[in-house]
Amino acid sequence: MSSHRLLASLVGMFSLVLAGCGGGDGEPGGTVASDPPRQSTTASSPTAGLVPTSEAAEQPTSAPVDEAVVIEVVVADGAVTPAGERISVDRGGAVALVVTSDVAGEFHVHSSPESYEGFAAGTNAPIELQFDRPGLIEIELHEPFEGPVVELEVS
Amino acid sequence: MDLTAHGLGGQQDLPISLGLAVAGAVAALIVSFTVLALAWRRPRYAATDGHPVPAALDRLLSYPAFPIALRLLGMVVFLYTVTVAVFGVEQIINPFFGIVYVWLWVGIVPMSLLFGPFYKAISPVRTINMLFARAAGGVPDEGLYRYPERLGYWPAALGIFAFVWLELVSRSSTELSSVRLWFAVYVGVMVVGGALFGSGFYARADPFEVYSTLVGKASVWAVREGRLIVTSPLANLSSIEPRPGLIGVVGVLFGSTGYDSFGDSPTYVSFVQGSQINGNLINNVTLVAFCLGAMAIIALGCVLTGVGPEQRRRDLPNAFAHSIVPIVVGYVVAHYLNYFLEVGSRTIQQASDPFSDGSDYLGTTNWSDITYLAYHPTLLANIKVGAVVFGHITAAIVAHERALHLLPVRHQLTGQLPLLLAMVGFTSGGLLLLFSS
Repeated sequence: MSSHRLLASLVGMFSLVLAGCGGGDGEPGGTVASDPPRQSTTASSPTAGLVPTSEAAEQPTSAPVDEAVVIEVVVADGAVTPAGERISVDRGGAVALVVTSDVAGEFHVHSSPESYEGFAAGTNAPIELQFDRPGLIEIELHEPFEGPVVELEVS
Repeated sequence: MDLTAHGLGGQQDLPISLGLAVAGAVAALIVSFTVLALAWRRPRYAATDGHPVPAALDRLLSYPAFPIALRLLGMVVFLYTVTVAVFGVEQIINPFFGIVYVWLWVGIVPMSLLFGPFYKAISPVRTINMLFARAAGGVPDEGLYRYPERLGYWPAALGIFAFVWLELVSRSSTELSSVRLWFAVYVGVMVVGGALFGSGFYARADPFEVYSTLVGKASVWAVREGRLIVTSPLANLSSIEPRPGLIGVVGVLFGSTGYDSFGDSPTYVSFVQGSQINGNLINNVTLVAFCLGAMAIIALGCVLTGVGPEQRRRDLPNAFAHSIVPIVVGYVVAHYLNYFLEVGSRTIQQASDPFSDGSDYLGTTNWSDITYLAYHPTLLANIKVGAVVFGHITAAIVAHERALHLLPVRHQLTGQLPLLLAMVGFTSGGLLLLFSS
């Protein structure tokens, strides 16, 4: 009687594991890269120059912003600088990423909601960002390779 | 590789201020020694503590339909989860990820604090075992063999480690096929285990049930002689029975949460970046080191005491490990509260569109994320420190109570010191991580 149960459960287990293995061959790793539809619609284009990407915030921007925090990013020979530095930014303040790169690529901005910002080879016009919600926001290089660039401390 | 430690979520909480971290650590230190110096000298929590619940509630909960309704609820959520796991899209917006990482894993703590051992009541693997047993004309409680008691909670500790490894270290933590495979193996092992050892297997080996039941001991709900009673969480925690492997469970729970926090710190991130060694290998080693380190510190804190003539030192770690449960709870609240509210509420929206094709079956698609705490960082920081310190105080009291039960009179106070120091270390370490995140 109990051995029937064991047999049934073994059969169940193997079919489950098979189900777990199957179906995943289609597109491995397609999860992280795909843009969620919740993302803000201001998808940036590398050539557009100034791209306003301020998120639709629930709270109004507080202090008026006079000057943007400018972050110079250099991508060359498979390395990026800065590589994970922490930078403080005021809530609602402007952040400008000035990218010089030997190839085209893309950043992944881990804000809520997250966004992706592309850039072209050569010196790019600043990518303008603005964050109204306090928190730590990692900006990672996504293309041409993966690596942390800066972490913004928005407070 | 996604460098954010959790599989899900965008931006992270701000670090707490240095002042708040120091204030929390000092409070923990002072209260600990106050407990030690001034608290009761005889065991205070007896098995007779508590009051029966009001008769009306007791009648309601005694209906045979009540447990069946809970099992049905568990199976509905389970079947829904299987459906999105198999037919949902290969994207992070698939509600599957939010269900397993946030509703299930983080949700275990608030659900168990509110309702006691809730996972046991809804556990789909228990229900499946029950159905198999019925179909084969057997009894769910009985298996082919007796569960080896000396294994205790070790299988659950292993299962919890496997889950936190998937979430925090595995590179495929947000790949549908991998997470689905993990859960397929989980269900498979649980069903076979139930057939081999009967349903008692789940109380020792199911990582989610063991976690939930332990945290449920910090709730006000207890069962005595078949009757539901309301009791003090301190008395309830004190009733956790020592078992082999308990130290493994609390060690992995605390160590992995600490690793999650540490893994986000700029120090660690720049270390991994600057190192020549493969980053994934470093992450693996660090997670294991955090879990083993937590176990070692707790064990050391427990054995460094004088013992009675008939007492074995090596029994002490599992006898005191239950006192770490409130520390785990406090730290989980501090670390995941905002994440739980935000990503948990987002999962409610995503659940309305199981196949991510724009449907709105539940009418919740347009609900908004709960971001109140994200926009009130000072309140959030205060809640975090409060939770950590409160967990610490509870832990110190529970350990004190157990020491009065176990240790010979002349070692009762000095014997508690090493464990208390270990707790102070955990608490200030946890606050340091919240400060330097």
